[in-house]
Amino acid sequence: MKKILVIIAHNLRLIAADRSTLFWLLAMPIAFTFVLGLAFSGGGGGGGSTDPVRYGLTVANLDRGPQGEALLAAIEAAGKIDLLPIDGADAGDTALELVQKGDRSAALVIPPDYSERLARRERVTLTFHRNPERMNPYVTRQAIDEVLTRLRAEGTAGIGARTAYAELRGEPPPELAERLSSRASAYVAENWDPPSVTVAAERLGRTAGSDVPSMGFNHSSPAMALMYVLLNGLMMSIALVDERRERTLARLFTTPVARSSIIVANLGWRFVIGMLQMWILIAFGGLALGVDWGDSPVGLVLVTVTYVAAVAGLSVLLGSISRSSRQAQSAALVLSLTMCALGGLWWPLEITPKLYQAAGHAVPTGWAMDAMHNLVSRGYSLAGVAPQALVLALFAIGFTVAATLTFRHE
Amino acid sequence: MMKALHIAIKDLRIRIRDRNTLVLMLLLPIGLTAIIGFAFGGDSGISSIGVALVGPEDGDLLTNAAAGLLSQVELFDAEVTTEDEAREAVASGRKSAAIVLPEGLIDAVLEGAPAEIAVLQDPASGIKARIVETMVERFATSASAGGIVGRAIFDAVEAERPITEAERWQLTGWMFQWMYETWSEPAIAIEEAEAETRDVDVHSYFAPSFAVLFLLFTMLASAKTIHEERESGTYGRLMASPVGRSTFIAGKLMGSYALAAVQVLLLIVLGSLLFGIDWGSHPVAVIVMALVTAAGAASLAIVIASVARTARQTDNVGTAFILMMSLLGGSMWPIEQAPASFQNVARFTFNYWAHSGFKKLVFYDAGLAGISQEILIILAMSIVFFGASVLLLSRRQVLT
Repeated sequence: MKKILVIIAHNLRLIAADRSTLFWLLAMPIAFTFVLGLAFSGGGGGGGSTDPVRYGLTVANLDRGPQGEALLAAIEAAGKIDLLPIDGADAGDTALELVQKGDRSAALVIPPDYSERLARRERVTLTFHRNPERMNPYVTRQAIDEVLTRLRAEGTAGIGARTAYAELRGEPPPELAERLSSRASAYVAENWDPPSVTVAAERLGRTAGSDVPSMGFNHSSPAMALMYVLLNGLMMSIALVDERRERTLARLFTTPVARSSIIVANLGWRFVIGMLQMWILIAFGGLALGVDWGDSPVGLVLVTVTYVAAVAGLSVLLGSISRSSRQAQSAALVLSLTMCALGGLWWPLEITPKLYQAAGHAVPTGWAMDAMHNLVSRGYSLAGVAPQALVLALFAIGFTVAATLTFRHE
Repeated sequence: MMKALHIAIKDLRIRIRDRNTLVLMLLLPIGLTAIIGFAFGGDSGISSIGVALVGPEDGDLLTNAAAGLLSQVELFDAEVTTEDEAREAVASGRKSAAIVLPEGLIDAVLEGAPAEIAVLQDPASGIKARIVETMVERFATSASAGGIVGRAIFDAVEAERPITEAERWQLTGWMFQWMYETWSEPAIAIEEAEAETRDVDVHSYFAPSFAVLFLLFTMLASAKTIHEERESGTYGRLMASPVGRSTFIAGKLMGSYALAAVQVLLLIVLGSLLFGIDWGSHPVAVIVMALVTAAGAASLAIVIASVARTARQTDNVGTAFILMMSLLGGSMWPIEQAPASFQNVARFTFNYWAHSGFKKLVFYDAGLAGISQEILIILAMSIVFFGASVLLLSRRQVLT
C-alpha cells in the first residue's frame, strides 16, 4: 500500500510542478464554462444575465395610410423585438434581398393598400420573409402574431357584428353596419386585457420558479466539468506511453513493486487528479457562477467518484494499448469528443431522436449527465442517482479489468 | 528556393504518412459532422414529447376534446391521467410536461370569467417543456380572443335592439360555425415566404465549422515541428548543411500551407461525397476560399509556435487558444443564436470569417464578389500573422 501511495504522490508532484498542465486542468474549463454560460444566458443558474435576447426584424412599410405605422408601433411597444426599418419605394425588394443574402434573419413587408383594405374591412395579407437557416425568425414571427391576434380580433368582431345582424334581422343599411362594426371593434379594444384564459407554468423539482435549465450555467457548468475531466483524463494516457518509451516503467518493474500495485497506482493518481479537477470546477460553479448543485452532496460525491473512476480506467486502458504518444493523443481526442457529443454534454439529449439517446447511454457521459440533471434540476437524493452511479461503476470495473489485462511495461 | 521546397515536401510527406495526423485532419471533422447529422438531421427529428393531460372533475367532455386536439399534434404523445400521477410523471422526467385544465374553462371562454391552465414542467427539460408551454399559450390566446370576439358581437347587436332567448340560441349556433370558418381565414393574414436560400441541412452548416476547427489543430501540430526539430537535434544538423535559417522557416511555412490546403480541399470533396453537401455553383470561389482559409490557419499556427518556447508549450497554449477562438467564433455551435454583443466579439476571430465565407458559398450560392469581405479580412489576418511569426522567430531566437 505504501508503495502505491509513493507512486501516486510522485505523479501528483510532477503534475503540480507543471504550470501548463494546471492551466489545462483548471483555467480552460473555467473559461469555457463562463463563455458558454454567457452565450446561452437567459437563466438556469446565477451569474448569467436574465435579460432575454432581443432579435431584430427588418420592416418595409409600403402602406400609404396610417395603419402600417400603427402596426409597427404596436409591435415595438410589445418590447420583444427591435425593428430595423427600410425606407424607399423598393424597400420590399431590398428587405427580401437582405434576407436572401443572409444579412438579415427575417423581414416583414406591409403592402401599400394595408390601411385602405382595413378601412374597407377587407382581408389583407402581410408578407414575412424568413431565412430558413436561422432560428430567430420563429421568435420574431411569434412577436408579430401576438400583436396581430388583437388586431385580428378587432377586425373579426367588426365583420362579425355586421354579419350576425344580417343573419338575425336582414342586411343592415350602411350607416348601421358601420355602427355595429365600430362598436364591436371598440369592445374588443377596451376589454382585451386581461385575457380570460391564462397559462401558469410551474417548473417542478428543486429549480421551481427558475428559468429554462438547459441554458445558462446550470447546464454548462456540469457539462464542462464532465467534459474536461474526460478530456484531461484520457490525455493523461499519454503519460503511460511516455513512461514505457522512456523505460521508467520497465525500471519500476525491476524493483520489488508488484504489477498489481503499479496498475493500482496508475489508476490512483489519475483518479486523484480527476477528483480534484471535478471538485474545483464544482466549487467554482457554485461560488462564482451561482450554480446550485442539489440537495444531496453524498449523491454528488457518488456520481463524481464513479464517473472519475470510469475515466481513470479508460485512461490506463488507452495508455496500455497505444503504441505511441501521438496515437494515444489522437485516440483520446476521438474518444472524448465523441463521448461528449453522444452523451449530451454539448446539447441536451432530449431534443435528439430516440436512437441517438440510446447511443448516448452506451457511453459513461450520457449516464453522468442524467445523474447531474437528477441532482441539480430534480433535487433527487442519493437513491435517485443510484441507478446512474451503478452503471458508471460498471463502466469503471469494465475499463479497469480491460486495462489490467492489457497493461504492459515493454 | 529549391531547398525550402525540399523541406516543405519532406514535411508534407511525413504528415500525410502519419495515421494520427489523418485522424485529426479527416476522421474527427467527418466523424463529428456525422454525429451532429445523427442528432439533428435526418427524418427522425426530435423524439416525441410525452404530455400528461389532467381534466377538471366532471369535465369529461372538455378533457376528451383537449385530448383530441393534442392527438392531432404529431409531436405529442398525450395521456389522460390524474393530477397526482401527472406531477409524479413530470417530476421524475417520464413526461416532459403536464397540462392541467381548470374548472370553468368553458365559462371563461364564453363569459370572460378568468381561468388559468397550469402547465407542469420537467425541471430537467429545457426545450420540450417549453414547446408544450408555448403551444398551450397559443391555445389560451386564441380561446380568449375567440371569446371576446363573440361577446363583442352580442354586445353590438344587442345595443341596437334587445335579443330574445330564441334569437340568442340561433345566434350562438351560427356564431360557432362562423367563427370556426373565419378564424382559419383571419382579417389580417401573414403569408410566410421562405427566402430562397438553398436547400441545406445540418451537415452543410457544421461540416465547414468543424473543417476550420480541425484545420487549426492540424496546423498547430505542423507548426509544432519547428520546436520538435530543434529539440530532437535535426534542426542543428540541418544548420550544419548549407541551409540558412530563413530557408528553414520558409520551408516550414510552405509545408504547413500545403498541408492546410490539402486538408481543406479534401474535406470539401469528402463533404460532398459523404454528406451530399452542395458547395454552390461557383467552384472558383470555393477553391479561393479554401486556399485563403488554409493561409489564415497556417499563419495563425506558426505565430502560436513562434510565441511558445517548446513543443509542449505550443501544444498547450495553442490548443487552449484554438478551442477558445473556435467557441467564440462559432466553429462549435451556431453563433447566430448568440446575443449581438457576443457576435461582435466573434468578429475578432479567424474562425468567424472563415465560417462566414463558407456559409455564404453553401447557403447563398455566393460568388467571389459575395465573399470578398471574408477573403480580404482573412488575407489581412494572414499577412499580420505571417509578419509577426517571421519577426518573432528571428528576434526571439527561438531557433538557436
